[in-house]
Amino acid sequence: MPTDHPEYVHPSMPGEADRLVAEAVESIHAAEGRVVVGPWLGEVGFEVLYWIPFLHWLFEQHGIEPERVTVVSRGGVEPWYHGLCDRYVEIFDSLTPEEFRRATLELWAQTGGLQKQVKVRSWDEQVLDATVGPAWRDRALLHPQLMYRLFRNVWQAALPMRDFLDRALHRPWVAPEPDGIDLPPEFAAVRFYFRDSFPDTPANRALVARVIEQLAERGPVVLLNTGVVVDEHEDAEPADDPRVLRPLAGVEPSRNLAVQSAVVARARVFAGTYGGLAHLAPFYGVPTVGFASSPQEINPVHLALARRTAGVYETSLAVVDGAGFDLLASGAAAA
Amino acid sequence: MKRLARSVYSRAAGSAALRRIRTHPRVRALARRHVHVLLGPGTTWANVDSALRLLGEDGARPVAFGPWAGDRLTEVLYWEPFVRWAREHFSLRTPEPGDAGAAVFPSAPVRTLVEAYRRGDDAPRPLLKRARYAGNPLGHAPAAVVPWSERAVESVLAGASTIAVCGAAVEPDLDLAQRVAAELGIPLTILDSAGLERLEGALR
Repeated sequence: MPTDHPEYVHPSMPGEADRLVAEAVESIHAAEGRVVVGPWLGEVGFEVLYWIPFLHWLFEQHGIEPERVTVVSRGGVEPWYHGLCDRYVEIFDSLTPEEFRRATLELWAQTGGLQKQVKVRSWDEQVLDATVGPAWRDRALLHPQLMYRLFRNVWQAALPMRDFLDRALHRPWVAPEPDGIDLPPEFAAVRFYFRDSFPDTPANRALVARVIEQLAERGPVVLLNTGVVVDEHEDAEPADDPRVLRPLAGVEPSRNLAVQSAVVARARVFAGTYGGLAHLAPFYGVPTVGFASSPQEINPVHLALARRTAGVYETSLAVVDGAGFDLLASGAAAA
Repeated sequence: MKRLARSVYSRAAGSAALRRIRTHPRVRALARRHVHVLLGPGTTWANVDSALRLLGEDGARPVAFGPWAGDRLTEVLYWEPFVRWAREHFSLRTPEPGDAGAAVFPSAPVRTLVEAYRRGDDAPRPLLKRARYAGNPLGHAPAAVVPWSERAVESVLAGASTIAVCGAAVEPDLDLAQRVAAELGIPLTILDSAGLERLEGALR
């Protein structure tokens, strides 16, 4: 999608961002504050790095009270929206992960791989019908398209990062309870999967094994792999090892992200593929090592913002390859 | 007066009749002699491009750049990649020893535009369009931990997976360095010393 596409705020359109925000706020006030936020159908990274901080800014800046706000997302992420809504509606209470994944992949095929919710499509409406019911049509809809329209050209380097930072607030995140999950007193949380920036190669599989081995030498490792698959990413499954725990295997899809959050929030460190959970862990103040063997596949704006966000929550985010990890793990860096 | 002249010259590109005048060789030669007018206060990237294009049209005359008045970090991060891009894009000849009469492209206009980015006012794209970062074609250097300075950028350019330890820094400098590293396929982590110790403590 070209950056000068009329749907996106562009540098040549001064005041356009404010106009889009004003329209959204006006529609919420016109509905007397009754608003459905979502449905969030995309990646964890965009949700935590951009969507939720933007919602905090929007609500606080424009006096939108959470009492009449309904959030629609998936994986039991209600705690992520703490302070933003009175009601959370879980997508996987109404749709199975298989249905969700099939529809998502079909949509990507139809849109030529465009994964982002840049407009309200029939799939969004189907999800809202299935989760909130027809009542959503009587309320204002705060759809992720607003975020994509506002910030797409920040991600394309055509607008300064300030355009996002001026419309984001980073509030404390409340760690969910790990209900029914037994955790060691101290542990490292780990989640590896393969993606373009960390492809499925023998070298990366060996790196995963090496990282887990080094962490396990110090203490228990808790794998966050749940077996729930809702996108194109394939988990890296390490070999069985008594020091490596898998308490989340088989967890219900409707709370899979909530329990991963609960575990991450209590970890000494998070290590895993640079992506969604590596973005999430710093919000809980957890030192994080994200792995990327092909960093040219990462949008550098996300990298820079993730670094800045980790600083806000007074923790550290390193995005490394095997050589960088060896430096950190050996202690040679601080020396 | 200079701003008026620059404005007239720039806007002439938008009119077919004026464009014919603007592209006349004698007008181009005159403009080339007064290229500094394009690079005065209030210069835009488009003015910079126009000035470089004019200089590039005289293939016989070499072009010297600078000197850069900023620190070494900004020179490595902004100025040197700009000069490399300008020379390649406009086929500008580098002055040889003994060359007389080289044209001089001052750094001040570029520095002003760079500072607008560093203040957070401008997007990175105009800078990025006008920069060539020379990565290491021979492969990767050994991973390194360096202070946040020109050494961190040079480490990335050498192809080393780099951990930069920073104190006070200009955030857009860090953003740009991370962008350059990512585009070269080199991991660059930037941490303050407390963050580095925290991370190492959690791993060991």
